[in-house]
Amino acid sequence: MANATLISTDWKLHLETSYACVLVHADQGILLCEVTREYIPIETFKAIFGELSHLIKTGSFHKFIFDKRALTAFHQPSMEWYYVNWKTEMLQAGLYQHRKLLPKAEWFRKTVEIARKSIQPKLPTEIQAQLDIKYCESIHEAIAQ
Amino acid sequence: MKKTPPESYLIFREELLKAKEENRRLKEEYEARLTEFSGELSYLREQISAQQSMIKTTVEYAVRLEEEMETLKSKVQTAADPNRSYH
Repeated sequence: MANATLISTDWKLHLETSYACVLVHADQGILLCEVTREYIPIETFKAIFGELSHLIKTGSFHKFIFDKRALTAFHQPSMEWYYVNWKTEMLQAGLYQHRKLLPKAEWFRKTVEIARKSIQPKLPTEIQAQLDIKYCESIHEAIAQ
Repeated sequence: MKKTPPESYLIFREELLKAKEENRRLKEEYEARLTEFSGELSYLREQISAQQSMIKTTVEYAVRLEEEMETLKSKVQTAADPNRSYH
């Protein structure tokens, strides 16, 4: 696990699967999901995010860091579901800050940008206005920003 | 008088039981590995399919951009044409 160093501080490991791990900083209200494989099948993706939903609804979290640096492929319908449905539902539970970390590969970043352009109009503008989404280059930057 | 089986038979029976046990263990191991490989294969298939979908989206976007560029280019050429009539 790349972020094992975080556990020694106030971060607690909440979930660890063969595809991703979830760390929690309850005091700062931050959740971190680190993808650990190059691809996540949709059912697994939804199961992990279902667990995150439960955690967010029963806790007090405002920031979600999604570390996707291990990915080499993404499943567009999964991303659409995450972007449109999950984010909207979690906004009602108080989660409004999203920090994302992408792989360094320029082609991957460009593909994400293209996919986002087609997904973005599906998210109502009043929801978009309430969300604070930023792309970061490191976990430390994502925590600080 | 009770007949006792010869010692060689007892050894043979023991070896047969061992072989059967080994056969069962290997079969179980083979089936477990087959399930694992099958799972990994479906994972890779899905990953390839997602990558193909990403390529498709990107190529469609590039084609659209190319078309838009061509349209823009012809608009610029028309606007710059000195023989262009305004009537």
